[in-house]
Amino acid sequence: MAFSNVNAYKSTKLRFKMKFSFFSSLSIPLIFILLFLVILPFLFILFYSFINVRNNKIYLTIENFSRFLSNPDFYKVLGLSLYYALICTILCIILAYPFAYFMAKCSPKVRNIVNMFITLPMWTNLLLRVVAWKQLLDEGGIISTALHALGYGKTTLLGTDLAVILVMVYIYLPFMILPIYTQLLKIENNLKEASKDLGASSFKTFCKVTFPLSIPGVISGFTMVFLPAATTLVIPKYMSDGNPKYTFIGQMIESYFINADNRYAGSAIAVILTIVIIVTSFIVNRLDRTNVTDKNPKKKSTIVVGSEEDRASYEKQ
Amino acid sequence: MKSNRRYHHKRKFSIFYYFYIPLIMLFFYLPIIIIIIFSFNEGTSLVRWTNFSFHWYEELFKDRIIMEAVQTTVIVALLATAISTVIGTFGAIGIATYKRKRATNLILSINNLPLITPDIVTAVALSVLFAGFSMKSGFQTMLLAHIAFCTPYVIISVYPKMASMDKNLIEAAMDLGATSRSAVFKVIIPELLPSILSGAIMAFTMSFDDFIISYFVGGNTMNISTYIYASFKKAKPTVNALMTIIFLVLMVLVFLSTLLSMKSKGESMKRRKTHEKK
Repeated sequence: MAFSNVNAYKSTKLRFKMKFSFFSSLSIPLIFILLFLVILPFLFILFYSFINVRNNKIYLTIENFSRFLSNPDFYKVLGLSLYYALICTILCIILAYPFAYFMAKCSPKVRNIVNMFITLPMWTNLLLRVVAWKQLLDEGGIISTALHALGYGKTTLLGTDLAVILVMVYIYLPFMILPIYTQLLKIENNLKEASKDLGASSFKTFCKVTFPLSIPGVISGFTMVFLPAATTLVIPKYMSDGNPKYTFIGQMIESYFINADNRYAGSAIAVILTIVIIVTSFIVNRLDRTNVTDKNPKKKSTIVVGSEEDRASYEKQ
Repeated sequence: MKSNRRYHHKRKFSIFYYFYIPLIMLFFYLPIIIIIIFSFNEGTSLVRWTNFSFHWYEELFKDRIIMEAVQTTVIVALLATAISTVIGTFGAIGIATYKRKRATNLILSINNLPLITPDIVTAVALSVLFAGFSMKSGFQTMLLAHIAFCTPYVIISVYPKMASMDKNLIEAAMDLGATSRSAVFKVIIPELLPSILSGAIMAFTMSFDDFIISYFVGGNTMNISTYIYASFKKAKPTVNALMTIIFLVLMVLVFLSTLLSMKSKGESMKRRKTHEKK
């Protein structure tokens, strides 16, 4: 009796195993895609960045890297991209934090509506929004005309820091608001009430409880704004009005890749850029850890650090 | 006590509270509203209003290149969404049933790669890949590239739901005689449907709005974004008419989806409440 039972158990288990291997086999197309359209391309740029073609002969070289790494202009462009991205990110944090804070305080219905109004411009085509701004800031646009009437010298605002940073902030602000807002929503009210019951003022509660607990949101917002802002191609192109002062790294890749048709040099810049980005996100993640786990080691489970999945889901919430 | 505190809180922030959110909203919407209003202007000026007319809309629908770009965008977005949703859904089901968690995690981290790398790097990588296989850049390469960057979004939307799904459900279905295939189609997929849908919507909007990857990979095939970029020097008010149409369509869709999600949330809350009462 017992024996047959074991057998029956085994056979169902076996059947189950087989069925589950059928389920696992469903992932084959996905693996195929990841292999050929995700991993392989990255290997290709790595490969291309180390080769060059001359007289129809392919040869290995580090020329692609050395040509940029020994060129001070390259560092200038890279530094400029990171610098403007940093300014944009800081401005976004300053503008987004109060917004997210008030948004989290609203009633759920208002919250949903505000959320909808933030995502709406986010989903509108990026190029269309940038072109809209270009028209407003250019000669004959409403904003430049108004400023001109007020006595601000120039007829066009294109090609100024104001235009570049303004549009960057406009485009990336929602990516800062949403992670901070979600993080603020996660903070339990009990913590704030406990702090107040223990005699802290609202301001002190904010400084000691709310703000430290919202830092993961700020950090994930930082990466979501900083990285795309540093690698943007469209914004400086439209806002610079041909001023070479605003050549960012994205345009540099474009100029090698599409205009000069030099894939090898373009790949090398992309590899350098990837390394810079890995280093940056590593530093930012370290910052994150020191801020969250060291101060409140026991609260770890209640704090969900913004991950890549979050990033993507905010993008298209 | 509690209400008192809340009152206190609100009063303290009231000036900001009532002005700051509308102020930022104004910042978001002012340029869009101006563009929408002036897309109905007869002249090209964005300051002086001359006459109300649908002139630019007529021009828009007459412009063969723009219409082709719109068509390409919609077809690529629909195909890429359909293909990546199917692959992503089955893939998520597959990797969630792996026995080795390590393999699952490996695939998930590969899946996250395109999400964390900047678009321009992905664009360069795909472009180099297609050049390496000497594929002519055009519609097919654009479609392949879009499938490549849309699939991860479907996975991150569907996988968490699949991983947290009660596996007993599948076992029960199969004990009751369901074949594996009918277990997938009659049990798993209906259970995952909301997250599949949200993944598909994400994929569609990503594909619809994409610029950099299409630009590097598309060659002479243009979608809306690359068309606008190509006509960089001579931005015509037709572009504003196009923006107005896209924005209004989007507004209706987002409004409907918000309404639906609010309704379903409200209903589930109600259900939970009545459940608790019982």
